[in-house]
Amino acid sequence: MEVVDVILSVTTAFFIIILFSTLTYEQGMLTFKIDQYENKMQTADKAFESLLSPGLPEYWYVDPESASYFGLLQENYGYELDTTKVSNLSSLCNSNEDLVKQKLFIPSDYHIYVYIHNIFSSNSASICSPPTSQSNEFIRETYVVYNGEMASMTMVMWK
Amino acid sequence: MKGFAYSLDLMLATSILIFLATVYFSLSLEQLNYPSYERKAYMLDEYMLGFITSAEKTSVLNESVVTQTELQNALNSISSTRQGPIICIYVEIYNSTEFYSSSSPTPLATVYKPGCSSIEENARVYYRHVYREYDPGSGYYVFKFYAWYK
Repeated sequence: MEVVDVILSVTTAFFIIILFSTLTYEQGMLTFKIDQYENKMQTADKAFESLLSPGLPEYWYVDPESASYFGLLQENYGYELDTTKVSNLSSLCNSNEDLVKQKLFIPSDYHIYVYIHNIFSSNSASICSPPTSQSNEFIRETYVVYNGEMASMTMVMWK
Repeated sequence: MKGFAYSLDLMLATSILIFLATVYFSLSLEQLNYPSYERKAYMLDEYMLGFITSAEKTSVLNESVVTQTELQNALNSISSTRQGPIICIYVEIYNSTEFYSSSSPTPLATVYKPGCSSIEENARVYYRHVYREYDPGSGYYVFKFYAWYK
C-alpha cells in the first residue's frame, strides 16, 4: 500500500510540474501577444493623432522631406480637414509611400490607408491603397469636417 | 482500490492541484480582458470629440433643435459592420432653462443610432451647449450625448 502511495505521489508531482510548465508557457505567450497588440495600438494612436493635427510645420507639403510630421487639419482641435493637405498626402502616398509612413511614425513593415467620406453627399477621398484582406487590421475612426460637410474619417493600419 | 482518491495523500495532492490550476486560469483570463477599459474610453472620447465637433461646426446640432433629420442621418452613418465593437450613440436635446432648473428635465427631443434605444450602464456622457440665434427656437440648448460600445 505504501509503495502505491509513493508511486501516486511521484506521478502527481510530475503531473503538477507538467501542468505548471504548460500554464507558464501559455501565460508567457499571452503576455507576449498583449504586448504586441499594445505596440500596434500605440503605433496606430501616434499615426492617427498626427493625422488629426495640422502637421509640423503647418504647410508641410511645401517641403515634405524636411517636415517633422504630416497632418490633415487646418488647425489644432478643429477637426476641420484642409483639402490641400488631403490631396497632397494622397499624391505623396502614390509616389513615396515610405516617406508618408515615416512622417506618420509608422514602421516601414506596416501599411496605412485613410478613407474620408462625406455623410450627406457622395464626396470622398482616400490616402494610400486599401488593404486586400481584413486580417490583423487596426482601425481608428472619428468624424471631421471635409469640404464644409460632416464626414467620417477612417484610418486602417496593418502589417 | 476503492475509487479515484483512496488515500489522504492523494486527496490532498488533488486538492492542491485543482486550487493551483484555478488560480493560474483566473490570472490568464484576467489578462484576456483587453483592450482595457481605459483604452476603450480613450478611443471613444476621441471618436465622440470628432463627432460632436464636426456636427457643431456644420450646424447639424443647431438645426436639430428644430428638426432632427440631419442628426439622425449622422447617427445612421455610424458603421455597424466595422471590425471590433459597435459604437452606440444616444442624444437628448434640452432647453437650457428646463435643463438647469428641473431636477428631472424632459428632453425636447431624443435621437439615437438604430439599435441603440436603451442606454447602457457603462455609457460615457458628453455635453455640448448650443446657441441658436434665429427663430424658430432661438435660445440656448443643451445636448447630452451618451456613447458606449455595444
